[in-house]
Amino acid sequence: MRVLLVDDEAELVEALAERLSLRGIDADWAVTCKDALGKLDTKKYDVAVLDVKMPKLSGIVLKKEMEKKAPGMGFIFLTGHGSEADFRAGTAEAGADYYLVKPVGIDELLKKMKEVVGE
Amino acid sequence: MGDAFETLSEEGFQFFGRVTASVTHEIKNALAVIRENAGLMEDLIALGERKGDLDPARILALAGKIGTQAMKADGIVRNMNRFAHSMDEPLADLDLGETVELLATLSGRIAAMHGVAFETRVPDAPVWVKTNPVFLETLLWACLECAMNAAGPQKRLGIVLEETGSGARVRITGIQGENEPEFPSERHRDLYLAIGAEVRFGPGRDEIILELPKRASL
Repeated sequence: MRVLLVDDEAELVEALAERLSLRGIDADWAVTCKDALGKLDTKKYDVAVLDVKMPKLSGIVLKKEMEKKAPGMGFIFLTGHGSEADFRAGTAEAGADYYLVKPVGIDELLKKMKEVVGE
Repeated sequence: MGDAFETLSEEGFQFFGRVTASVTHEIKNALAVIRENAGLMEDLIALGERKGDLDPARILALAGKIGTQAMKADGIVRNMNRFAHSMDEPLADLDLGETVELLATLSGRIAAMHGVAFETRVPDAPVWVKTNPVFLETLLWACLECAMNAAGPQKRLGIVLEETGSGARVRITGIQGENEPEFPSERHRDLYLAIGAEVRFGPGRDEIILELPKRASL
């Protein structure tokens, strides 16, 4: 499974990507929307894990841009929002497969990613 | 004051809510970094035990990252605590430099979401005013929010504090005021009049000017 993690907190995505790699996942990361879109030019990903709130461009807008470049990719949103229900209501329009509240457990994230790609 | 309190009950709570939401997001981000790096440390230790190959320098580096994030979270909480305590007294002696720095820090993440950065410039010596901290902070926030929405192409907003003969002046520079024609509104007027202040655009509408008296007559 190939995963792209996007969050403006470099120390978060870097650690998360390494933890996923240790579990056999091919994980890359980006800290800006521009970097994330650039990575889609050189590699095909099965799922993207996006922070909802990033400077300049939200994860919701980024998802729409990524879908244009990589149709069929699955999406999981991460948020620092306190309530998953409020967050889900606010981002329903974006239509991601899953919504997870930070900090998220690695096993839970892994499980959701596998569900997204149908493993 | 009646109108001012009515305005404050809406603007002030909105401001408090936005700052609290933003600050708690920042704390959750710091906690998420701590959790992932602690998890990675556990993974590497477990792997090292299995393979008999543990890199102490790597573990130390991760511990350092965790410590840095804990300090970051502590700084955020300390600022939020200072902000919360500004509600303690209806009239207080304030070092405006500290207030300006605090507001700029607390709204830094909101600014980043607008793609905007603040640069504060305060005098070395404290600039004291006696005023209502909540009214002042709500008013300063209203000015910053307007400035963020009207930021010029450079996306860098200056927050400049100056002592004046009658009190102090805060200038928020780097804006294109024609983008915010409704500012300051009647509601903002209620607030600034309540503490004897004045809010206006500078000539050319490229800066917002907040004039404060040395002592608010509440």
